Amino acid sequence: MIKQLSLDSAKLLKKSPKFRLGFAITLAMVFLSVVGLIASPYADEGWGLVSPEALTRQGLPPCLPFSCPSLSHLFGTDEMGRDLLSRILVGTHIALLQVVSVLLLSLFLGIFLGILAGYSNRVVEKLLTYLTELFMVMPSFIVAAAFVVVFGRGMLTVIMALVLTWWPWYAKTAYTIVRGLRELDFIVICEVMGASRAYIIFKHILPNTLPIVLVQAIGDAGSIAIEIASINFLIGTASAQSIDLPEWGMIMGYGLRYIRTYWWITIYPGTFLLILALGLVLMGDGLSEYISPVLRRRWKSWI
Amino acid sequence: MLLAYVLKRVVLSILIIFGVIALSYVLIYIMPGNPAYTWVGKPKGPKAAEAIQIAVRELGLDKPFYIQLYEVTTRFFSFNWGVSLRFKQPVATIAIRSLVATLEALIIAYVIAIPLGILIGSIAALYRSSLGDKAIYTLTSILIASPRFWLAALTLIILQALNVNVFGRIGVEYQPTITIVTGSYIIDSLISGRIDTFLDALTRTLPPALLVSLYPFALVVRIVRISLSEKLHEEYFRQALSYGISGWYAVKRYALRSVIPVLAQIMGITIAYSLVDVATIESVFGREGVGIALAKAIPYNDYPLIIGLLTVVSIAFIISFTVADIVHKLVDPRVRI
Repeated sequence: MIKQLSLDSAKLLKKSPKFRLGFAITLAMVFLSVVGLIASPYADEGWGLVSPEALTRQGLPPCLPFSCPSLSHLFGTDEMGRDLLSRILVGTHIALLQVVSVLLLSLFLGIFLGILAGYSNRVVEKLLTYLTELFMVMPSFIVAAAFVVVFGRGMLTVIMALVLTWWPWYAKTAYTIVRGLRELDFIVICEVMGASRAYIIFKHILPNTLPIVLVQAIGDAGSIAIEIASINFLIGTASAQSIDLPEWGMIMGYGLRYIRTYWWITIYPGTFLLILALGLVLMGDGLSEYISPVLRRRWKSWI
Repeated sequence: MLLAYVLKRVVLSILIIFGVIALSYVLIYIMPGNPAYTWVGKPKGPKAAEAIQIAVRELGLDKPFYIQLYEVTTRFFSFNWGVSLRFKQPVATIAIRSLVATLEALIIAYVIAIPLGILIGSIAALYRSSLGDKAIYTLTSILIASPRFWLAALTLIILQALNVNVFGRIGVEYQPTITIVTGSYIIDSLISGRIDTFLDALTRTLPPALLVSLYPFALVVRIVRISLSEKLHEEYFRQALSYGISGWYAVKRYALRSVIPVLAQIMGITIAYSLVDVATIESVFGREGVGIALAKAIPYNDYPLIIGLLTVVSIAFIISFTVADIVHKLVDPRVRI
């Protein structure tokens, strides 16, 4: 299985230039996150500590555009005098971690509930499809706000809120596939031969469901990165005191109130987010084009 | 048969509305500690105990759970959603007012995005793998990958450098000229017959709406480009071409028709996703929509307002999903049962 997977990805890398580019960008981001963890220029400030050095930088008169980011602080400093580059670098692994955890958790929940809905009795099926529709309409950012009031601000709050509103999409896909599968001959024969449900699910249903949902999920990764940042942005704009956690969206949201003079606090983290999301989007596009035979065909202009 | 489907869908969406009300109420219960304590905004000081007592009575926490659920539902339908702690006004008023402001921008964004997206997408599909198609693909990739609130911040900086003021929903001097009927300044100014106010409200709505429209625009372009180029290789389309029907006319008459159901299916989801965009972009541009209401509610622990916003926005979603589903069934004869 693992051998097959690595073989497939090697082929994918060779065939699809889009996937190659996206993969390279994402790899660069992973590299940046490692750099941020072990070698960011002002590591303490990156984690949110207001060091004595940062204190001396506070309260400087607002500088003219392009003069404040200097050689020692490439991207300038934030409102507490902390080096923005370090904060962005340290924040890289947080951004990646959030995307991966939201993706994995909602994939797991979605596939589990989708298969459960598609391959069990009518009552469970109806109930689960209802629950799927219900959670689908919950707006993620307002659920996140409610969670912030209840549990307090933090990375986990946003991840929880997003997983809660994101799994229905995967559950829906998995459910549709399983519904189609369970009518097929090989599953029916397995049932007649007396195979257990667990055997059928793990041997036949899961291997046929997982790849399709996985492709959908990888295609969604870019949107998830942006949605997480958007929610954190809203929380950041709402925050009354300065934010310590170096989360890109929150830095941007809190920096928004200074945008007239300290524009770089909002602009630079967004650039990194754009690059990360672009990498993820390209990866998803390359993958889905590779999988779908119709899209792979070469077209000529015909008019 | 179609009527039966529409009825079934409407019943389901009403059931989901009940589910949302119940769920928003259960949300109060999952919090650690006393629900009444959070409902009144985690008070401190001498009056705290009294406030909690009032909240217990208001929420009906001293009664059995099923009666509480019943009361919550009746309270919801009589628009008695509690009082916002931050604004000291009824939650229903603020939630609906914010939703109207948000929908204003959202609807304008989609009115711009969908036709333009179909047009550009068809061009890309017709000239597939030409230079123009590649340029369009690259542009849409970047649009999908760029955080829209970041683009909004950039736009704001540029507008400020140019000294253009489009901040807020309406100019201060125009505020008293209109009577509030629908809550949407664009419609209200037309009702009051004030063209200058209308223009002011519109110019303040357009920049955020344009920014919001970028994502659905890019998505529509992609979907049309991919599904249209699939359709262009199907038998019926080649047949039409071989009869000598011109390319553009054939696309309009035959190929695009089969793309619209796909679009309708996707649009419901996209509207849900765009709402986050509207909320963030509004907070950049200072429009008093859902985003700003939320941002003001969080520091005050204004739980009633958050729950109120949650329910109204969910109901807006439900309506948009249901309409998208029904449109999908209407235009696609294959799924008509």
